[in-house]
Amino acid sequence: MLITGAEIITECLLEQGVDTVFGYPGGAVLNIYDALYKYSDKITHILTAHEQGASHAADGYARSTGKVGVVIATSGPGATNLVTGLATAYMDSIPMVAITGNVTNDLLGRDSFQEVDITGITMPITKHNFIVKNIADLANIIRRAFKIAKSGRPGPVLIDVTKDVTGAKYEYTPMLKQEIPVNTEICSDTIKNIQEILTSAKRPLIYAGGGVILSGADKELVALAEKLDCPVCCSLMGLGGIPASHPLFIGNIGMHGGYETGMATAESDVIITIGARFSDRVAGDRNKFRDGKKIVQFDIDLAEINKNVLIDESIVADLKISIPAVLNGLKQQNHKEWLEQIKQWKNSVVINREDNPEAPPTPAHIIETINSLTSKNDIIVTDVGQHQMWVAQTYKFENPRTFLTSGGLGTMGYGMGAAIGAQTANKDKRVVLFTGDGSFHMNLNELVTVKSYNLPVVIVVMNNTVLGMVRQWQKLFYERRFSQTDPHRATDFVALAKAFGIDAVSIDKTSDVESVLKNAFEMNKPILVDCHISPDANVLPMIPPGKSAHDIITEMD
Amino acid sequence: MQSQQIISLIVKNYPGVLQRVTSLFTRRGFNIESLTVSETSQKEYSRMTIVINGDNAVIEQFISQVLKIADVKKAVLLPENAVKSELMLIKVSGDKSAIASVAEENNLTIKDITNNTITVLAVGTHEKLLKITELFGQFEILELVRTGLTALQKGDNFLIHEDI
Repeated sequence: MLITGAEIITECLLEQGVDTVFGYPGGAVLNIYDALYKYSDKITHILTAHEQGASHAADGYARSTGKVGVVIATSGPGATNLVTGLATAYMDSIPMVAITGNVTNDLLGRDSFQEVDITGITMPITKHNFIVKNIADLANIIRRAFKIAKSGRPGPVLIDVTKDVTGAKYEYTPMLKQEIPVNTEICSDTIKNIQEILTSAKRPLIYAGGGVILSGADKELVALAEKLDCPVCCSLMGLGGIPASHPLFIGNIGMHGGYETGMATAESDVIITIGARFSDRVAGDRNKFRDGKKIVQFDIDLAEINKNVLIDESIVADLKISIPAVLNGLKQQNHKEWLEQIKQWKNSVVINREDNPEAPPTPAHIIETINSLTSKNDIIVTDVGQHQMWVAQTYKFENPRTFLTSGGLGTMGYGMGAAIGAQTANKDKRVVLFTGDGSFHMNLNELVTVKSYNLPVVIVVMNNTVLGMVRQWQKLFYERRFSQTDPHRATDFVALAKAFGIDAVSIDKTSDVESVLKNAFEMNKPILVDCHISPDANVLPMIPPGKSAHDIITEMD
Repeated sequence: MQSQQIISLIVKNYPGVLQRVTSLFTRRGFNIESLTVSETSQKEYSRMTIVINGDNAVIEQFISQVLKIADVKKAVLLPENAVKSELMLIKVSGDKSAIASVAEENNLTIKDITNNTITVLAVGTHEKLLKITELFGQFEILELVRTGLTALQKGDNFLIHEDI
């Protein structure tokens, strides 16, 4: 079949089962958009306000479904606007394919209009990238890009295609989507060694991360925890990997985890790390983290072994293969005393919280109310900052792929796009975006997309009028010098949303919370809830950077 | 233990692959002594020889990181007894007959002679080239260039065969 390069792109997307793409047109992708026009009955294109929003939307689509998210942008600024979205996806190992146009071959390298070396720019923030200068290579590069994005440890892949390639015609031969082979070979000695460490542990702790969700190994994780009778804590990326209601789940690990998880981390004798990578936000001082304990690591990426913390024994494979392999023949363990000890730690620290009906609501009160208004399959998206940590601490995530947040890169402005992507992919589910006034100001332009596609996202702005997380650090470590964190902005979010054609309500005091939120959720259409909270609500507890649970902060002004 | 190690990479031969490998050095802070690259007997592959400083953990981490680059097909730490060689060109001025005799005594090839300079080619291990540089230090060294180390495993071990 002799078709244009642009049509080869759309055909190859269909081969891969893609039915939705996010993007923004422009000069260098005119041919691709012409093909999308022709294929509009097969591929839905979601137009965002800005390419960054489209990149986060593709990411949110991927995180909520497990499928590869696809984003299309033009050359030059279109391509550079994807950079933050790609870096966000890369840090959290999210499968994405970005397709950018570039100038024609004869204009490459001549500083032509809207020309940029996007493969050079994105090399360190993509799993791989390609520039297609020859139409003969196009179809196979697209197929390879999807394969790379999904296989092993997933990640974003960028394909830059010159305009003459998308415009030229070439023979296209359809090809069936190929299944990615999974390595099932695991050394039996490794399994034996790990089983020995696990069964000799007196105070084991499972530290589960985003890998559990990426590989769909949540059931396997629970089975391992139950067999070992072992408490489980999750990194930010791991939340939902084990139901929050499970008796063995003890909360978040790391900087804003609970006192009990901090103490359990410090006092454990064996840490079983599953699909997690000892980020500084988890490990604190990585040189002290392993003091007095053994560490076992399950990961698909060999490069994660011994990267930040030295590992005693590791198993490098897909968690869906490695966890059952270790479970096979493992005797039921019992750690009643250890679990009891953790419970005591939990009860020993109480974070004071006053829900005064006339005062501004506490963040926890808002989140708990929304928790009760949503079901366990609904999707919670956050931006980055205090509100993100409050949600991670308070909301009870029962299922994988229900919590979408920028963990590794910590991208303020991630949430709007991600919520759009998640709602597009999950029409039957409720999508709630928690954002802060700081994060929301970064990408609120995407309200236009929410309205255009009538996406019934509930946008909850935790409006404390300050850049709260940085301000909290300034309180703790900079003697309350609030440099540029108290901007006195005058934005009226309710009026702003209405200007975009989106309904909006506000909450000023605790007694409003239930009724306003209940009404908002019943509307079943795009709505913004402007929640006025105290500028001095802090994220507690907090383990200062580089410290351990013994240094935990539970009170501050 | 901190030491110098030699790692050989087999990579797909196309423009851009060098950038992918080198960007890893800056991004993850690996301390690289030298890097050489050229096409192999199989045109579609290039071979890189990298001399890296670091303890075992660093070397292990480097190899597993570099293997994540989609176009890196193999990454192997060469054993201590690998065949190693480096090439150096050194341009000196001074007493010409004295320079020539140093070159002759050390089996070096004189590649160029002008009124004021002699350019000598030296081939050998890193240590040998350091020693030769030192010997020519008695004259005035005008310019010096080294290629960086290349190396192959001894005997029947090959890095390139069908299973790539």
